[in-house]
Amino acid sequence: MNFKELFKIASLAVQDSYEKDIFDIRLEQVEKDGDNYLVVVSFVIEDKMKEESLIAFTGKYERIYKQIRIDKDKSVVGLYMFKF
Amino acid sequence: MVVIDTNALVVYVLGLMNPALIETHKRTSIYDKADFEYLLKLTYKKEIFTLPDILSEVDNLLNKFKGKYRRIYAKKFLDFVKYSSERYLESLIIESNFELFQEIGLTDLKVLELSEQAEYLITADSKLADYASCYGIKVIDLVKNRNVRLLST
Repeated sequence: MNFKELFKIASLAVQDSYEKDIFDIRLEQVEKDGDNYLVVVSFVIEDKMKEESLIAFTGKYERIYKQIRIDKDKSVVGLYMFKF
Repeated sequence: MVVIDTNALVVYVLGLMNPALIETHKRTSIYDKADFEYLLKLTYKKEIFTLPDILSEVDNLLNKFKGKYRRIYAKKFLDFVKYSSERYLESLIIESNFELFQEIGLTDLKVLELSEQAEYLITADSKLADYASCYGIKVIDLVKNRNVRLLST
């Protein structure tokens, strides 16, 4: 699988897991793990509950990182929080 | 004067060693020779500013080579240290940026501070790029550029 294909699968998985709109989704990292791929994507969401003291920096928006495990059959088998 | 952050500098140093190494490193797996060549253009005849914190992070990520690349890494990293201008910023800037420090950490806080005087910040960190843009700092966002290139092929 190439990066574009992995990114498409990972993007759909992330979009499906969020009820709210996500913006600026990006491919961040790809790692082969046996027969699987570990794909890291980032995206921006609106956080309406964001603390007032933090709104000054990036408004009510926040970038989230997720790691998606994709198997050789192009199925998503895991979706995890991720921090660099 | 330009500032280069940790992830972008990892791409840069790996490219100096051998551009083929860029795709093999976990942290820089989405980048390739074209990104390194773009970095060379961005930094050509520019004074590159860096921080001890950035250099330490890069060294922590890259000083793991065995065999022939062990010495090549050390040589290229030293070349970069000699060529760039290292600036020291006191960690006490946390005190006047307490909320932001909790959000982005010490190194990125210092990167933003240093970048305020720079022509632009070169970064491969999406979150740092978001914050820098909000602060009115001109950002060369390598992740964004790579994604644009990825989707256009």
